Amino acid sequence: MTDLEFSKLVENVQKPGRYAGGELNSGLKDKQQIAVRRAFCFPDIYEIGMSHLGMKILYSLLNELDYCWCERVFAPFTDMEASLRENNRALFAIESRDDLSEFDIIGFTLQYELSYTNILNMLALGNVPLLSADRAGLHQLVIAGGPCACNPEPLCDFVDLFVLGEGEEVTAELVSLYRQHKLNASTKDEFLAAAAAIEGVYVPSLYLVKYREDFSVESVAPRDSAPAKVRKRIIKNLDKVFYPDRFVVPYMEIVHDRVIQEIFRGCIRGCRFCQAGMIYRPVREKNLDIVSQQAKCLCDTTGYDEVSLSSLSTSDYSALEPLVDKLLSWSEQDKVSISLPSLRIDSFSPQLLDKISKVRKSGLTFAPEAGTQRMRNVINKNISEEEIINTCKTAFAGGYINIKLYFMMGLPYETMEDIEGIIDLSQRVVDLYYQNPDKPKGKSVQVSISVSTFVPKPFTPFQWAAFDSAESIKAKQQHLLSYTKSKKIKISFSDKETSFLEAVLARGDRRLGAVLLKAFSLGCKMDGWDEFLDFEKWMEAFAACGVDPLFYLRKREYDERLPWDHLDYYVTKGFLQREDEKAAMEAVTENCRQRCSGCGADQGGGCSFEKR
Amino acid sequence: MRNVRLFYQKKGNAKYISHLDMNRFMMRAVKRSGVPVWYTEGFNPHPFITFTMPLSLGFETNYDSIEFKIEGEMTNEEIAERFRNVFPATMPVIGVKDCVLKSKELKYASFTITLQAADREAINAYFEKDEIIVSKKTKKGTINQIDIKEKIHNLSLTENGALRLYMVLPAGSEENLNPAVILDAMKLQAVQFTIVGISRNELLDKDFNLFE
Repeated sequence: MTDLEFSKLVENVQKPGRYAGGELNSGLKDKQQIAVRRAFCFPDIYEIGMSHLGMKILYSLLNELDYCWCERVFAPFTDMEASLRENNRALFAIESRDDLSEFDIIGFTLQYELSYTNILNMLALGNVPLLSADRAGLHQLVIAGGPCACNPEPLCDFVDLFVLGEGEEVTAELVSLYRQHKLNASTKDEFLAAAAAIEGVYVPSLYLVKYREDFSVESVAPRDSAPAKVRKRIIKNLDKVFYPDRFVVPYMEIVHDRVIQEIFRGCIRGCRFCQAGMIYRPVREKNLDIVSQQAKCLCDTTGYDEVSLSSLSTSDYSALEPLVDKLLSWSEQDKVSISLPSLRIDSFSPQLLDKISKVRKSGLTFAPEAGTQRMRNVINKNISEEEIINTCKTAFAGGYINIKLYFMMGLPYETMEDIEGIIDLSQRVVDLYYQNPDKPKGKSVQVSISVSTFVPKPFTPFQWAAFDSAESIKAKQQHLLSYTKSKKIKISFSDKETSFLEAVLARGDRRLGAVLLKAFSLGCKMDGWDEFLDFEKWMEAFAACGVDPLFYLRKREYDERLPWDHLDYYVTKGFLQREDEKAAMEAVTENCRQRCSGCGADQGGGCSFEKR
Repeated sequence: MRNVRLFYQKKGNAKYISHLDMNRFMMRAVKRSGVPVWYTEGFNPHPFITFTMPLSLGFETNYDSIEFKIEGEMTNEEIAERFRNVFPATMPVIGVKDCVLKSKELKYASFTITLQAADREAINAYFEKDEIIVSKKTKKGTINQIDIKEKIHNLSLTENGALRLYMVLPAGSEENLNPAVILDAMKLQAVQFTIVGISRNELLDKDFNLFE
């Protein structure tokens, strides 16, 4: 595409910067010298995709290979999609502006179930055949990885192979294997058979899934030498794993426009609703000196003036205060600010607050997740009301006036009392503000509570649980609103149709492939955006395929074969079942540092850092 | 501390960087350059930079500048070299000079508009009319119809493969005229053309000398 053609394409497009490229640290290579051309596709728009740490890591890692050129592709926004169609242009990669169809490996990251139709849309806009079976050659190999790959079954018709678990090692192994097979002019089947031997690679076409008459899974049979269970990959040593020394720095503002510095993976907590807390196990920390060095290096190469520490629960880093001190030792001089997201309520000390206050004072967000202690025990969110209240006290004393609280509804074993508990707790926080003698004059408090609908996910203790019915959720939301007395409490709910589809796709099987295709052909895309989600069309697609979405939302028995049971994320089914049984008894499980709960994550030699 | 101006160009892909994004780009570029630019002393210190004249999204420029204060010793040559090292190829650095004029002494800017599929006669006729009425948005948001005939200087239309329209228009804090406004008005008069590109060539003072 010439510059003139590009400028015509974006002439009436609102944000041409999303497609223009040329950002600092983005890589151009001579394609004549390249053996493997790799497209990293993010099935959402530029601002969201560019904020994603996984993409930054794999983009840098792949481009360090001299035989590989990795380029970025994002879902075009609606105005750009219209312009592509009007100008009869295919979706292209940002760096080379070559069509998506020219790539050897087309990789998607699966961060969110509601981006699945965007995957189909991007392939279609890129003139890449949607169905795996329609792509005969080794060229245009479509692969996918990321958290949603832990149940990739709805995408099996479209994706040639999935990468399970952490990508740093397996991504390089795959691209090297691909290069070899491309040189040898192997067939796609030869390559896929060889790829299936790599730990963490799941080739869905090598597994025959049989369903019973009631549509539950009867059996999953591997073909040829494919392993009966595909195990996710983990990185054993985070101090030695690849981490980029530079990020691509967008010109336009993106969602997370700063240096993101990973400090550990996994989570010690074991909240029973949390998929990330289960599938990223075991906990592995990065040494604080390495964290500090990497963060400083990234600031130098990007010019960013803010570092955000990244993990599932920042305050569970075993040496958080020393780490913050270490970072402050250079960051203050360099005029770089440090932000600590994902702080746990119980860890929120005045000292820590003081250190963050050196940086920026905006609102504070905490996640009690449930309104009553009983319910927090059910979900194993081990924080007490006293801890929540004490934290808010600290925050108010520190001058904060906006507090944001996250809750869920539709949790297993939930009653109306638990719903009322959400408001009772929020009201206590409001009252607390007015008891503070030092509260700022003339300013009123705002407690914003965000109540989302719980989606039971694979590989969690609640994977067998039912997704709450629409009537029940509606009743709970109405009750919550009528029970609220204070105007200082602002309530927002997640979109019920979004959660519904998320639950179906997260817990789905291969029969959903036809539904996805139908929904896409009816025009569904950008489903994660409330303004674009067309639920009616989705229902039309389910009906046309003879698939009842409610089938996927029902409660499942422990002995039912789940669609993702042939995938192995280390945590054992026995552990998950034990946890679910404890949930029913409102019994809590201690965190990994207090006592090992035998989840299975140590099978890979992972928990060794704890030196118990 | 002394006040300096950094002069640079904005070409090709760089034209898709909006003014707001340029501002953030400059903050990061200053940081990476290691040039001792004076920082604000507020709660969130940041390099204190002023753009001489914001540029519209989609425009290229041969001559754009930012102003800032320098703390400590560093020659203009070294400052220029350091920015050269951190600017993308699409933003070549021209050089760094001590400020000669004040920003309010900027009065004009020259533009070249490259056109395709254009009706040369109609364009000539359009500019030869006694008055050229355009719609201009005021700061209050209302739209005024004004005659800009007298505001267009050094107008020329040349053809060398493509058709090039050259003009000098008021620019600066007191009066400002964007060529896009004129092009829009031409379109409304049914003059045929397609814009290939708009470039702001130079920034000029009241005597049409280069603004430095």
